[in-house]
Amino acid sequence: MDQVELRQWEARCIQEEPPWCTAACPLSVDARAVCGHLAAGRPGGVDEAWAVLCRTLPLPGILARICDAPCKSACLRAQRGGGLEMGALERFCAERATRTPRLAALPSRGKSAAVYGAGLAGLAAAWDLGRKGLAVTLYMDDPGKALLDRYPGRLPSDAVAQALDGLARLGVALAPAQALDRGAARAALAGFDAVVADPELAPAEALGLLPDPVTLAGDVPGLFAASLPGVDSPAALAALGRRMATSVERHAQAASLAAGREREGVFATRLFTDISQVADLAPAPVPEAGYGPEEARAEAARCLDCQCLECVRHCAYLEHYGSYPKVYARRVFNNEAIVMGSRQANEFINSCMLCGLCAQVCPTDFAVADLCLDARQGMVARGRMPPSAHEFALRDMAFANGPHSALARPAPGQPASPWAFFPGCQLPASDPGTTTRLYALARQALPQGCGLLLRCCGAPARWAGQDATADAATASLCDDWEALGKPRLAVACPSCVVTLKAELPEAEVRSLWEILADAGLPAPESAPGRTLAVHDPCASRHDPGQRRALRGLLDRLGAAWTEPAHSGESTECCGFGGLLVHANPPLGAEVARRRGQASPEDFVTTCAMCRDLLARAGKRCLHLADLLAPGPDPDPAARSAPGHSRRRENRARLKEDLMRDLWPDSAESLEPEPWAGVAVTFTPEAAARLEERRILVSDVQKVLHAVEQSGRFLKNSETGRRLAAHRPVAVTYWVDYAPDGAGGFTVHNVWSHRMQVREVA
Amino acid sequence: MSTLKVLEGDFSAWTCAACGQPLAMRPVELDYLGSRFTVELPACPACGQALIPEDLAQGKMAQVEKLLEDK
Amino acid sequence: MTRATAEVPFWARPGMRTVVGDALRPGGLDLTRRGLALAGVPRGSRVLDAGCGPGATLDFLAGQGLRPCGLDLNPPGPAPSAPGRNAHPRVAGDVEALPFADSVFGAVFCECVLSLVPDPDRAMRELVRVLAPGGCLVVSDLLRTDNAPRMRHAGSRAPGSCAAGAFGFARMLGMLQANGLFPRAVENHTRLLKELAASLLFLGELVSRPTCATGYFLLVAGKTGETPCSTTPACG
Repeated sequence: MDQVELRQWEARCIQEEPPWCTAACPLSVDARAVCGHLAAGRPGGVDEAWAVLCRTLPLPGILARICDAPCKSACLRAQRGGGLEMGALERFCAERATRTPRLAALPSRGKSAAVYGAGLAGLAAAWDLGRKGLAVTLYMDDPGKALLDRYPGRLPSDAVAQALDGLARLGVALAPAQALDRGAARAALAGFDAVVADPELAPAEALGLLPDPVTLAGDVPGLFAASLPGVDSPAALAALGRRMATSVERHAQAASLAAGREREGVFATRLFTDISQVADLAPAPVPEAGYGPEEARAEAARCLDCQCLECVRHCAYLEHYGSYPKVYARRVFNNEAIVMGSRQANEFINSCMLCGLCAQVCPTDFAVADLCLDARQGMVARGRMPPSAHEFALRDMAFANGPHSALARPAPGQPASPWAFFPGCQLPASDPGTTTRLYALARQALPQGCGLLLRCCGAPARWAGQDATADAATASLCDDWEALGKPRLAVACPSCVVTLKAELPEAEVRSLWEILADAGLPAPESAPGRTLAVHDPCASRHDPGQRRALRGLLDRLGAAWTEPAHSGESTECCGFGGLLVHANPPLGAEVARRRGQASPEDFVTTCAMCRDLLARAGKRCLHLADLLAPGPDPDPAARSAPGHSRRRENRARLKEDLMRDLWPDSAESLEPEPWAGVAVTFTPEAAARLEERRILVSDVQKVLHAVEQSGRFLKNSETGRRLAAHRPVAVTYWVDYAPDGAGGFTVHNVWSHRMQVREVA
Repeated sequence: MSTLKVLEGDFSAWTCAACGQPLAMRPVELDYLGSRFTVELPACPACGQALIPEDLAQGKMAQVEKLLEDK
Repeated sequence: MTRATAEVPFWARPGMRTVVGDALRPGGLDLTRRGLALAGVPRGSRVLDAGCGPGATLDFLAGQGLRPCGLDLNPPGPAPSAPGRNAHPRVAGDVEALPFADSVFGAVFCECVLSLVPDPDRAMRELVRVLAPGGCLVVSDLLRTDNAPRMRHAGSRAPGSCAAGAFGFARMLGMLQANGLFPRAVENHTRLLKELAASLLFLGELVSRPTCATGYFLLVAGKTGETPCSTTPACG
């Protein structure tokens, strides 16, 4: 990612866009922040709210009391009961604040301005220019009286006095009012760097000017004027004065008058806020005397605190890292860009499920997946991918593609078949019995002939950013597919459908579920009595055909079903996507747990990993195959997810059984591994450690086999037990065990580490 | 760098079965991703076989591995 | 220290001494040795170690045939394991106001100190002031690698205080330039920082991984327009 791409990413996220109130305010007041302070009810909250107003408003003691609050109609709450009564809240702050922040003017740079004023525009211009350090002369008779007359009954005289005092402290000098015409304005430029004309005294037309609407510059450099706004709005008038002051400052600095002023005054915000779940709540009527403290707090509490955060609301991962995509993009960029130093965002990058939900819900289609997958590929390319993040998953993929699990055969009795069933690597690992029955069902639905292709589609390597490994897996897959005569593929796993369509474009890839839905086979008598909730795997987010097939098959079975919260295109990942469960196990567990809560009903799904991870999180979950091709288990929804070692055994056993039963003539006999003969049993604690620590039974067997060969182990005279270690490849496994007296071993504990131990002689 | 003392605890019950010797606290080198640390661990005085206790492997070692991986 | 362990700054933890000996910084004396090799300082030169701490560097520099002088805010007594360290002159003083005349040192070492100083620009001016013509400045320090501004407030001893004062590299180069120096050699030694942190983790001195984006660098700078140091360096 380069700087340009970073800016594009940052610009796409709208979370930092101003809320509607600020965008509709001619002075860009942060009304949301004002309401936040007032609603929180903390001591000092009123002062904090007042400080926000004082930061933005010219002559805050005046404007806050007479503001016409154009924000009120733009406020989103207007659609849910009535816009916020910001005018009353501003007045409340002005009246009840106990502390007004001190005003400071910038140091003088020797520039001066004449403001010919009569009302708020002139006063605001004088205020702003005084703050900017210009020497301002305000030509106006008795501004206090002018304000009191103009806004009778709204301004206490001490507030007016304070405002004038503020002006004086900003160095604004008062001078008697002067009439202003074109000639006088031009003449005044001889004595001042700039001249500002209040439209209530001398609108632009009276000066013969047609000023540029953005800069309000007249035809003579340094002269600024405006037409009266169409409505008698104090906010709009003050904003005119402010706009002219900004132009004066730029003029004095010989900077561009017009550049970068698109968001000055009123503009359209890109923010999006979902108010679909917000209940109507009307404001209490504003009393004549203004709000009291409790009323002000209640009104401020009606503020919706408009944010976007759509993606964060929908994703436990985006929520977990405490920010939002604009910030995340920069973190990823910084992570890549660091030349000297340690990377802080590796875990963030490796925890994205790549599931596309954020892009789905984002008003501007921000896809964090693209950010993270790109970053992972970069990390791999530069040798900076932490090995521990994905190694286990890649080992598992290699096993699925290895001689014990991989299989490519045409239908029994056929030299070649037009179809091949591709269950994916996880269904065999989870439930070999169901895989076998599903294959039989596929053969029924595809009587022309359906072979079998057992392999991993390579998705884990893609998700890990390991494109070279993935390409190698694809190449082997392609070899098998070609050797089978390039059959059409009936694919059970939704992730495999996505991956195979991308990686094997010459192949015709169809979801098995769509095939079964079309085939119209008789339904087995196995429909559960209770209603099921449909869990769409995240890989089927953009595949309406698969999603329809799942529901259609449930209908055919006579199974009642409902949609959970977040379904279809808005479905949530179970935590396997992007290898989250491997790279960040605690977050993965949390994701699965949350998904389980999307419905009180049992889930039914078409992805074996979704089924297993939800089951692991304690959610009753069926695989559709459990209903279409039921086995002896009376309650498959309660089946727990097999552990890591069992998954491998399942794959190996499936291949063995199928070869023996369906293709006995071509059964290969694989040499058993030397360590496979080691007899081990595990205490319950040890078995739990194996799962938690991603250590396989075969890893333990390798250790014990190495001990048998070398005779090297450690003995504990107190417990009588033994400790041994072995490092097959990149991880050292430690086994705490004792001989069981029958030639085998009982294992009490296992642990591992990646650091290599070198004994110092 | 000097040898780091990373373990508390009593390892006197352990012996090396191959050499028949009780383990003694000795400097042992730990390598990962190009960095090397010398730590004091129980090890056989004869053959050098070291003992990496569970707490160390799953605790401090795992933390150090993660630190070094984020390079 | 009477404060709770959690508030003890990184560099003052007891474990630091164990890990890097008395040179309280990543790489210990190995990095000083490297800096000296890159700088090439004539034997017999007077050299300054600004922020000398217990004085391990002084011993090392003396062993290399140089005449070291140490400066520290509060020079502590010699470490019990190294009697005789008093032999090298050590002055109490502030890097921001060095109590030395102009141009008296053939080399100035400032290792893992600038990031702790409240006014590093002033310190840099002083370090350069006392550098003789043809002399070299050897700086090693933490490097800030995100774009956050330097956080140090004067005298802050907050946890993680080292990294808070770390510079971005652009700032470091700017400080050099402003004082007529240019970098002759720059090396990335972030690995040493990580290894130091890892060692502290092993010792149980660090409870969690450091969180700010930091690296570590070694830099040797000379005055612009001057030829590099003498051709008979004393480096080891």
